[in-house]
Amino acid sequence: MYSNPQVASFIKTHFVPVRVHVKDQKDEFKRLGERFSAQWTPSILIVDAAADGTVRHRIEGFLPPEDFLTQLILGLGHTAFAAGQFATAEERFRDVVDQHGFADAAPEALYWAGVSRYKATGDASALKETAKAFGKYPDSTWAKKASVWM
Amino acid sequence: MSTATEPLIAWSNNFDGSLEKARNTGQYVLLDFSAAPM
Repeated sequence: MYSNPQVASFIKTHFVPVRVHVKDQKDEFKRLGERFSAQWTPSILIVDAAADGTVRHRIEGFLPPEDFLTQLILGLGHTAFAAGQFATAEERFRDVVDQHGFADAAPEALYWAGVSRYKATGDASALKETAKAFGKYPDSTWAKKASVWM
Repeated sequence: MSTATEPLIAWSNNFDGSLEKARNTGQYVLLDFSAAPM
């Protein structure tokens, strides 16, 4: 995942990367593993420093580069959403849908893009429009969740 | 001649210091619990 130049560039732009090794840093792995409930490797967490180290997104297990990259973008969306920055959150989520529409994370991103727009505008039609857009992901769990908005 | 490749990501192993750095730069910490060779 990390040998992909696009992934590496995205990480360099948005994150301070920290690696804790299960065998080479046993004490640190125990300390941080308990704090963040990490019981398996790889576990990759997006930690919000502005919110006292709150975890905003978790990625557990290996993913191919594009799926990993979309998880990182999705995580930034969730981070912005949690901070009440709904326009930024929608931008992140739409980026996943528009630029990586075949990635596994795309249906989840579409769902949260609709929620972000609704939270930003208070306009319930954003949810209805999102539910209709799930025609391209009809079998996803997120389509089922959005179906109540129709 | 070295065949080693330069890592693309400059990983830190100092979580607390990195959290402070992220706080100051407006970035987020990407914390990777790993078993991969270092």
